[in-house]
Amino acid sequence: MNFVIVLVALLGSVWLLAVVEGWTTTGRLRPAAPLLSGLAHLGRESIVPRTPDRVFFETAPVLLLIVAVLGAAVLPLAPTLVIADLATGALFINAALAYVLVALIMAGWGPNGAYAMIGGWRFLGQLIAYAMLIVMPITAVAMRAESLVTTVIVGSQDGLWNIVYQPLGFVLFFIAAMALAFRAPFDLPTAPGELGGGVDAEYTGVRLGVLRLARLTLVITLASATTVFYLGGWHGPLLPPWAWSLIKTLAVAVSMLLAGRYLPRIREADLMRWCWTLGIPLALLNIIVVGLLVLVVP
Amino acid sequence: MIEVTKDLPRSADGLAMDWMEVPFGPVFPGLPGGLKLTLTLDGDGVTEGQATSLVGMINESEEGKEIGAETFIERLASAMPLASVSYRLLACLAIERAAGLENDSATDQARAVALECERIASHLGWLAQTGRQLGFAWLTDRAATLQLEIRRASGKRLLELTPALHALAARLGRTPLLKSRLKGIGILPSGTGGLSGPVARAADDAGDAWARLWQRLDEIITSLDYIKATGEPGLPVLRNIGRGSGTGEATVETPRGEAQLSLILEHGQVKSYRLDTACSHHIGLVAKLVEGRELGDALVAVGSLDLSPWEVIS
Repeated sequence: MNFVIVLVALLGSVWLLAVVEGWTTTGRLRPAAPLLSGLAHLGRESIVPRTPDRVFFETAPVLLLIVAVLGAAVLPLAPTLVIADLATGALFINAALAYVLVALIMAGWGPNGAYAMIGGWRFLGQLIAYAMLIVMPITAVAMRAESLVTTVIVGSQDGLWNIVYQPLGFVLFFIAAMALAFRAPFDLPTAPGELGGGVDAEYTGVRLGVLRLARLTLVITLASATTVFYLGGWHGPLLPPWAWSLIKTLAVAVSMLLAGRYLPRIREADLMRWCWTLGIPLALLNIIVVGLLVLVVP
Repeated sequence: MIEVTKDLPRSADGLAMDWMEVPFGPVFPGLPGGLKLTLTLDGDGVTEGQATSLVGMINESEEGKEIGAETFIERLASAMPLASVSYRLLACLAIERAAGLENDSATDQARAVALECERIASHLGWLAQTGRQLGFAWLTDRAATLQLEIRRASGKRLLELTPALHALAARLGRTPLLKSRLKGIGILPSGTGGLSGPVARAADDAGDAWARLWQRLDEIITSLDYIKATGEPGLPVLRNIGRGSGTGEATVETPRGEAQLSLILEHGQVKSYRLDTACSHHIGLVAKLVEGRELGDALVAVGSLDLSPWEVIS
């Protein structure tokens, strides 16, 4: 039952995010647009490039979608509303999201096209930049909760959310999550102005539809992870716990969407440099500060 | 392994790689339509590149085929859709001079205002294109909206838009990441000849894409000040030349640089002409700008030249 509820919540969130995305792009609020767009993808010709690596080409969009759903499986909407409350939940998210890279490399390699291939390899560079900034802030979150169980992590924020307890970790995780979801200004693998769509460039029809659905699902999963790790998960007054989880998740997802509109795409070299010379030392500092707080403050 | 890589070209770091020749354009989101950029890529680094225009006009008229003066003006203006007012003015000036007409200060003033309006609109169009290339959606939307308003605006309305244009410039100055994206990109080797327009004027400063951005923003403000001091724009219209004959030359500072036109007029008909434009020279700079750069930087460098493929004369 939990599986169905979480899946419906995920789909609903993706729909809302797609509506907001359309609104920011076209200036019109059209609730039916994501559905119509999805149907249009189904009806369009699904062109296959001349000499693709067929396995990679076909598998990549589906793998990206599976990865995004797997990540969401360990994120609770309410104390008992979680698909799998694993003892290593926080670690599992890292493991699942590592396959985003695999999916994008496959999507880049599969079509046998220059734009897509460069996009795929660009994401490898991006992973080297953001990966530590996903893992290290989660480490500090787990230190405070003294557990990797996601429901326990939310429980540890009763009274004081992690966004207040470890704001530095929140900022680093939020930026790294945007890079992982390859949203602007970190959309280096797709970069319409540089690669004509990059990893998306050779996909059409239903395959492109799946790829877009997977990208939006990934954003919701990462927004949900931000909610669980830093925004107190289901905690909040008046409304039921699941409602708070959804509201916070959508707020984070929309802020990820909007932040990209007001910033130009970052240079890959700058992303690497800033992540390694500034981001990682700050993440270490965050771990030290949280460690001291855990030891000193009861 | 040695057998696999022995005949492959070497990267700057000595690694043997497969180099790819990749076309960007003539229809590509980050470049103006009609411009074809062919880059040889070593990974995502550019080893060499060249740009060609697929829509540029051919110089000089067909042998023995005369064109009516009005038709010539219309053809030249419509052949340059990104700067039609500038080229209309250029043709009018050259024909009027060939016909021996004296300058008329009131007409010249109205024409100059129209030219400055086009300069503002053109620079805003370039900003929108740059925003598209950089994935900077806000800039694309804002600059494109203002460009449309400027194109439709009268002199009074133009002045009402002044605060919005100042705000745009100020906002870009405060945008994080923009400077790091453009600074140091697209620097031309010292002593590069054949430059004109904003590219030449920015070369006096740092000569990079960031300097070109600010040069164009400064020109927008300067043009607004000129319009404020002068008056209403007037679209260049050919004055009565009768059946005049002679040789005429004119130069106009278009939004992309200097354009020169010389022509021979016989009994009110253009017998032959020769056109020279800034973009015809600037397109040759692409090879120097992209070599050894990362792909994204190379495209930003090309974009910063504001090449109009229609204004490349072959």
